[in-house]
Amino acid sequence: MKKSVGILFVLFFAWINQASAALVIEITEGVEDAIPIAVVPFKVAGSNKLSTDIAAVIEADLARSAQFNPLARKDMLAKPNKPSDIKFKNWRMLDVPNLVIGEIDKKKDGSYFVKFRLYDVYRQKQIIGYGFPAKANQLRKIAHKISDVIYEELMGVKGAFDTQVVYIKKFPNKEQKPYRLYLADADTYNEQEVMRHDWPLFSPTWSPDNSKLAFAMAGSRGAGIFVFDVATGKAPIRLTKRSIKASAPSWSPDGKKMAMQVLANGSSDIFVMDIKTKKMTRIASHWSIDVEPRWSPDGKSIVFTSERGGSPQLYQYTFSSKKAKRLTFKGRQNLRASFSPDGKMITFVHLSENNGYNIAVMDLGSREMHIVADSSYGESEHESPSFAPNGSMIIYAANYPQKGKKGKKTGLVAVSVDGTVQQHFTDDGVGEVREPAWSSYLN
Amino acid sequence: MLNLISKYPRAFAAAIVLHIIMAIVFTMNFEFTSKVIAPQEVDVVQATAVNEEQVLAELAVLKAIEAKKRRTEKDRQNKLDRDANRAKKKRLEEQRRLKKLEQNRKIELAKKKKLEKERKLSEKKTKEAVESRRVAEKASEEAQRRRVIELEKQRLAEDGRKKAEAEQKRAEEIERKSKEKALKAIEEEQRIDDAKVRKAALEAEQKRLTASRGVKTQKIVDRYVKLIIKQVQNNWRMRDVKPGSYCDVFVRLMPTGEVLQVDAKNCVGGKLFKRSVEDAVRAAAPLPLPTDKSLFSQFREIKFKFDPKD
Repeated sequence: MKKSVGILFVLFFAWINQASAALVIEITEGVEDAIPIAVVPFKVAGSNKLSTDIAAVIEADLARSAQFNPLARKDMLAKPNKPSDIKFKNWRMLDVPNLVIGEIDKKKDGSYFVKFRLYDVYRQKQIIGYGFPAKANQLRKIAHKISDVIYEELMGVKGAFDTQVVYIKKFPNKEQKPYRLYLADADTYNEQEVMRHDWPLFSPTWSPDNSKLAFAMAGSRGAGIFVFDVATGKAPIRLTKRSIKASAPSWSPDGKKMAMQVLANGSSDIFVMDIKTKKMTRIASHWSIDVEPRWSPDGKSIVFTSERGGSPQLYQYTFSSKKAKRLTFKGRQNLRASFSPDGKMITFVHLSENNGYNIAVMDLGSREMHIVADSSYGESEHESPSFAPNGSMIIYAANYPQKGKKGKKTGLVAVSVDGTVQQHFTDDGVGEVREPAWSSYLN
Repeated sequence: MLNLISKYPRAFAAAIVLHIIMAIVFTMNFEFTSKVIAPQEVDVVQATAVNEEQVLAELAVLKAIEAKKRRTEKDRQNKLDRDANRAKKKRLEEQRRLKKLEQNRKIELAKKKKLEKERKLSEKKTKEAVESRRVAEKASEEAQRRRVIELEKQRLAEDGRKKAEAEQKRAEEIERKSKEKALKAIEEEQRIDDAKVRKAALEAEQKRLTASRGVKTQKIVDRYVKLIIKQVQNNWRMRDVKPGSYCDVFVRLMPTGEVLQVDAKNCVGGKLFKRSVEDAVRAAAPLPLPTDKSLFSQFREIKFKFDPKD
């Protein structure tokens, strides 16, 4: 009896041994390919057709981020809308690990209820599901919100699709009030005019809470910085005195101060204004031209462009030390910087040796710079880069020379921070798009 | 010339003496000649003409004078010869004497040397004798000492032997008993060992049989492992991988290469990283497997170590 137990014991260990002698394979590399995802067209209850294809908006959002690779609709083997309709095998066969389905119900009052579910195809389980009530004109916004949820679930980072951009458009001079200020969704849809003026409008920027916009206006009378309350939509209010030629406003992160450039005696200096008291303080003072201040997210420093080194280069002024240190050394010029939301990077216009206006990103820790959007050897010009609130993308204005035509074609471009995906937003208007600024997260 | 003189002083001296003697002899001869010439002043022809008898007498006188002259000469010559002989004899004698003297000296020297040698030999012999006597004495002393020690040792050994014998007896008794005890155990063990040996031989034979195929098989397995690595890596979508992220993914396969079970364990790097590695394997499925189904057993269970570089 004892012996047979012993033998069994030995056999058991032999079996265990064999089990642990499984083939061991080491995987050290992967690909940075976008993650496949299928966004099945949402089913609209009844026979109603919607002006907005929510699934298509989600697809475009996810694709633009460079992190996702949406499955083309024509490749879908089935188009389920309810959880019970899903055959995971269909998606597994296509090696699509993520599946989004949705339905839209129409309520009696004419509003909608949008439901969506995100599935883990391999584990055959729902990752997340939400329902959003929406008015007819809010369907795009709901689509962006869904994109944000998906992005955050699968990337671990908050999405920045349900956000806005502000920008200036310059129309031909023959038109009345050719300088116009616009707001739009981050994908440039839902464009709304904020104001128009005969005098040039410049450098629009968001208040940290997204509730206000500041911009500069030039002209013989009344030039200066104005603040526009987005929520109330009331006429812009002048912030600076008429006697001060101020522009390029930038809010401090606490919203209490405004940095700006002030032109005086043929030179330009950086000033900080206490918004409440209107008291102006000159910082980073230098006899040469200092322009384009931009506040860091931690409020401790300001990055600006200065010609103190001979050519326009970027400098960082630190309030505690009251000193400015140079940040850029490569290229003929580096200008128009702004911080990433985490404050670790700046994006700026990099004028390379061949005079191309490129969009560059610099890691402030390592001081390493890389180009995220090159100007194709000067054929196009890029300007005014601005980070998305999650730091994953940069929006900028580009203009391209047009063959045989007068003037330039312009447009907004969103580029992933790694430079891999660019989306040129189509703009069929006649105005030249300038100086986009990306909002922070909307509530 | 001087060298010659110094070299042969005796010969030179003899030559001088000879010359002097000859000079004297010649001088004397002149005297004799002048004496003889006087008669010659007589005109021979005249004489002849004068008196035959007288001439003959005269001739006889002349002959006598001649003879006497010859005799004198001969005597002188003989005397000279005698003197030379005597001198030679004397010289030879002197030489002989000197030679003998030299010989005597040499003999004497040899004698002296021999004596000296003999003396030294005897001295050495004496010394050696003394030394050997000393050594012998010492050796005998040492021998004596050793003998004493040996005796002591023997005495002690005797004691030890007696003790050891007793010990040995006791040990032998214990060993005998334990051997008896162990013998049974060994017999038992032998039985088990035999079984083991048989089993090992059987296994070795099986191994040998497989090994003949083994090299070829291993090549096939290696090739498919590479294919699997490629396929999984191509399907592993890395996104913001934190440094130090790691996962073991245990996978069970179906013979078709389809994934039956995927289980990520020991993961560092967060929820999304864990999902990414599991999805990598799932997306890579069906994994490439050898067409030879007998090799599937090696692929049934795979442990993937996801260990991203940097």
